[in-house]
Amino acid sequence: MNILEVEQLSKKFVLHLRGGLNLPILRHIELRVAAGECIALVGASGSGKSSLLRTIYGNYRAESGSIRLRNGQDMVDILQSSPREIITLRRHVMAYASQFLRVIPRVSTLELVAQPLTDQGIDTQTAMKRAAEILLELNLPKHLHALPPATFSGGEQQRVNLARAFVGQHPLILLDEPTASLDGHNATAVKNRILHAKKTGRAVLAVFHDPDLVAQVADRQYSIPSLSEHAS
Amino acid sequence: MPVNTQPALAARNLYFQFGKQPVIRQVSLELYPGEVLAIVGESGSGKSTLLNLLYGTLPPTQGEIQATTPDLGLRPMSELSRQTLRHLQRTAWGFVCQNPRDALRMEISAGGNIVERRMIMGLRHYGQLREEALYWLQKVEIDPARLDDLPETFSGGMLQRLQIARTLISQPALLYLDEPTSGLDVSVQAALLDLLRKLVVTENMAVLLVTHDLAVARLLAQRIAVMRQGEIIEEGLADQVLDDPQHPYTQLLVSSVLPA
Repeated sequence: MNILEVEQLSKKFVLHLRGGLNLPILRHIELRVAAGECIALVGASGSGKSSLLRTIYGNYRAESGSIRLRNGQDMVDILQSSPREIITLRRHVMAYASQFLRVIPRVSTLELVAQPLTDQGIDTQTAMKRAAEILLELNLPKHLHALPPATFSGGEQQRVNLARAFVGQHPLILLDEPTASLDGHNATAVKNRILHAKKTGRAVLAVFHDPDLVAQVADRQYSIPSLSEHAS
Repeated sequence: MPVNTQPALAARNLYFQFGKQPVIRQVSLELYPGEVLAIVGESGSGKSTLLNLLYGTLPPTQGEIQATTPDLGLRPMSELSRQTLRHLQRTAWGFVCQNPRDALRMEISAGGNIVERRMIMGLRHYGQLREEALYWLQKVEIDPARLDDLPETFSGGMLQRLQIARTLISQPALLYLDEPTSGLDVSVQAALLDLLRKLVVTENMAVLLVTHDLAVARLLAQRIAVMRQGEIIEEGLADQVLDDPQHPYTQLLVSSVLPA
């Protein structure tokens, strides 16, 4: 059962401040991800891996193609969805962890991680409990939970970000270099979360910088077709 | 998925002219319960005028506005009597303006200011009014010992927090914020943003936020509308408008922000 179907997706940036310069980012992307599967996005730096994740998440627009996402029995096209529909899909269907955490001033780590659950309508107490569990699994000890993550190290912030992406049990998880600032011990914790997500029938689409991790968690690799260099 | 609830506020094809000068042109928008819509744009783009149209303090030259009422649901604003409109503005809706002195009663105590809306709603019990006033003072991080002081003795930032407490106490279904945190210390701003963020979720408030601060818009709003010369030139998901702006003006706006 496919969770995600990307067809003929093309995306470019039009830079109006640079005289309307056209910057093609993605061209004719064809990609399918099934439940229980992990696909690794590969390609040279600048090939559009992160942009593809962002476009699927609705963070970027695209001018052509479709991105169909399973929502229960239906497949909905992200590119045709209204902002409110995308918010609902983000709440229940897809989660995304970028490389960097966007902290909210004065909000504790625990609250930050519980938020995707309370957004789903889960009561605060249960949400806090599950948030604490996933933080511990990702090696973030209890004494850090009450602190806002603004002062955390890069690796700690990245794991807070990943905890937010994993906690909501979304059918599709998008990860951008999830282990980029992690040591071996913490990368293993992330690997276990990905394997667990697969085992529970969820789909993972990720950019990895570590080939060993790809070998351990990915079922397939998808190589982003290269663009011609010239800007039109 | 509960996407199809009724909006708390809907405007269609609004125009507003000041003499012969068009200030608002062809603005349509919808705002839903539990949602924050940020209106961003340079000063003079018509943001505050739009807010006043949508709050009912200015009548549009053309176009229709519907707003939520506690008893009758969504109602055309033009059909509300002056009295009803006034009552809604003092109970079910709230407006936080840029200059708190325009909203506060400077001659009565901080506590008196905070509970005014509750008294309009019929609450008379002195002990309970005092308790609620103390609760809201603490929520906006003002020392409870200042309850009986006159606003005149408060700093600008404290006055703004007082205005916010005074407005939020009635838990308005529809909240209008006009640059609510622009005059505040960053620490107080963070506290208020956090408070607002939580209230939107727990009280299912619909919030219209006018701001020129894109970071505030990103933090609080699900959607952003960009205004220029009285028109909404781009509208969409907050992070999408900020990370992949389409309109030349939005690109200029986003690229002009200094990174902190």
